[in-house]
Amino acid sequence: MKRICLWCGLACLAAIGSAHAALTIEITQGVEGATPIAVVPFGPVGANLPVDVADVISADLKRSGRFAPVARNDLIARPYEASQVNFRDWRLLKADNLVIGKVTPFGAGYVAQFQLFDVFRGVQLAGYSIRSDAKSLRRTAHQIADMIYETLTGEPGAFATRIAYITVTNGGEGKRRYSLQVADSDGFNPQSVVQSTQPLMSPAWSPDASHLAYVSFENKLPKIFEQDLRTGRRALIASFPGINGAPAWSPDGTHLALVLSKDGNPEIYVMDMGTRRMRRLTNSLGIDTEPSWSPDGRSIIFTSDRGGSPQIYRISARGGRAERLTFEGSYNARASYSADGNSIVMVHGTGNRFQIAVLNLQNRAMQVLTDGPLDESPSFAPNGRIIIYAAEEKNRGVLAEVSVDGRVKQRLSAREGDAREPAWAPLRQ
Amino acid sequence: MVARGDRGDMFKEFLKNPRALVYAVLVHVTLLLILVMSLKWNTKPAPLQGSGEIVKAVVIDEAKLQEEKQRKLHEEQRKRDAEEAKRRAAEQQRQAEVQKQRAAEQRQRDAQLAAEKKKRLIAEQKRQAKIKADKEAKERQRIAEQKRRAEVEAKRKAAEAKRQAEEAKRKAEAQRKAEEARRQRENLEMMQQQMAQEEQQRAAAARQRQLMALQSQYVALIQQKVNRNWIRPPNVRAGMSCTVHVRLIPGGEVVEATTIKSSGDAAFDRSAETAVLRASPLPPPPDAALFQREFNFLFKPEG
Repeated sequence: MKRICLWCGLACLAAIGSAHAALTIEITQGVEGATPIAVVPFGPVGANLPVDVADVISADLKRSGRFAPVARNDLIARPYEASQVNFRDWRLLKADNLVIGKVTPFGAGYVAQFQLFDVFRGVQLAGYSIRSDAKSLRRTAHQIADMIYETLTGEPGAFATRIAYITVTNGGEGKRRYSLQVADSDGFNPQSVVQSTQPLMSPAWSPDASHLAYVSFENKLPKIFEQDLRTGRRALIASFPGINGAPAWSPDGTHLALVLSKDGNPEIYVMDMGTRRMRRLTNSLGIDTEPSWSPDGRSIIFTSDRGGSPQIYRISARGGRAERLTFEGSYNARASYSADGNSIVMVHGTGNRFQIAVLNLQNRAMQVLTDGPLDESPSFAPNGRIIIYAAEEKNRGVLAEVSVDGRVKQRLSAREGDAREPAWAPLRQ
Repeated sequence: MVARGDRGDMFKEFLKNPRALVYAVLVHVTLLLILVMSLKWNTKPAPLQGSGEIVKAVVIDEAKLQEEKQRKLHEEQRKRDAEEAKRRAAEQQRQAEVQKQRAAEQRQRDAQLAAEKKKRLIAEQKRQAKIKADKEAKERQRIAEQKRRAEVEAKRKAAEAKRQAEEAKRKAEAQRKAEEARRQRENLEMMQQQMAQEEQQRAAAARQRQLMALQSQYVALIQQKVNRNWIRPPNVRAGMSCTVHVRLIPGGEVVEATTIKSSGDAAFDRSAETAVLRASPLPPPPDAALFQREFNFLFKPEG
């Protein structure tokens, strides 16, 4: 009897013990948020550098919405060599990652070195040296941000990419001055590619980011041009009667979708860039415009008011029936694909408020990312994490970026005048 | 010591004292030897001894000398023979007398011996008869004694057997009683034990329930803290999961967080590990018994 009870007791203990051994705690929630990262100003202290590399990196990482750089004033220490790093400090800050680095003169230029640490594990995750010079140091900073981003997220970064957009300035004597600009993804280093006193519109990047197609009014008539960014040479692509607009390169660069009204109302056409032969893709009584290719090149989405209000439709690149994709809101226009093809971004209008929204093509959920009131011309960064768009601020057009989760919005630095129709360049291949 | 007049006494004496006999013999032998020796010495011619006085010798008639010498020798011999004969005769006479006396003594001794022998025989017969009678008496006494002893022994044995039987009976009774008492005691003990055990089991079950309640509390606290510290990467989808093994030290500090089952997405795995490390120290258990050095987290985002 005694023994039996003893066994019972042991069995109970064993049960507790095994329950302990098997303990698994499920974590299902987590928080939406940005990962804290400390980017320490690059050393050496007192170096007079043309660019604050750490600042550029921080701004990039912050714009992605995935990282929350620790404010400079909160940095506990300012190490720029691995030997100066005390992980305990950074754990107290709850900074998951730490970036340190230095820029040292090298020949006529510089060498930028950086190291990325996992603070909680106390290990280095990445470390590189990059040759640079005064002119490209900012670009180098973007490249470093890309490496950090890719190391930490597993996705390629897209900070060292460029954007194209149109600026409109007052040219004096009541004339407007239009300019097609190309700048870094954060809006810095803008360079004018084309200037005109007549409107410039709808810049579109070739898939290798070497060419831009755009609409330029010549003698008050819209024409489509293609321009080699390296040589500056430009070529006329379409100058049909009526509208020639909204060019869009196929992902393989062999075709260009465009909008022509030569046959009546605006319709989508596809031009073979080799032969310059065209094929009409849509045929409706309404306006069909703003085509954009799917990443696999098989289908094209476009804006059409054939249903009464502008909505987004999808059609096979070889033609056929168009399928309506958007049903929410009275106005959905100017859609384009994310690089993974899983979602599209568009201007979403309700009443007289126009915002940037993303439609998940898998679950058809629409997520509005911006506040408006007049946001337009959205374009995905090549890694799909950030969307650049044009917004109106104090009756002035400015460029802004929003992280794809809508958490981080940032206006890009703007000079005088209006900025419109941004287009994010693909990653160079 | 030697009394020739009574040979029987002398023999007795000799029997009593063997050393006397030895001495007597020795004396006789010695005397005999002396006699023999003296006879030999007398018959043995004296050795001639060379003497220096013969340096200036005169020639003497050797033959005459020898003759004279021979004659003297014969003379002496004849005298000695006569004496010897005379002595022998005396001796023979003495011997005869001794013989005669000895025979008389012998006869007297034999008669005496026969009488003694007879006397001894009778005495012996008497003694034997007495011994026999004694023996028989003793035997009878022994048998009687034996009988008496056997009776006593039988009595004693009977008494002993009775006593033993009683003792055994008494013992059996005592044992039975002891057994009974023991059984009762054991029953009581068992009951008490059972009750105690039931009580213990109830207490253990209660403790178990309490621990389980506290355990879920503890787990909830840990969950809360890790959830708060888990910054979900935006690309996580429902269906992704990873298991992170953690090791704590008392106080809740996480000393190790390792992905033991990957989601296949390195960033997701790292975010999970980091969540645990960020949440360090984990909340203390409400009951120290619940503290566990090692366990797993399953990161399994919903929706």
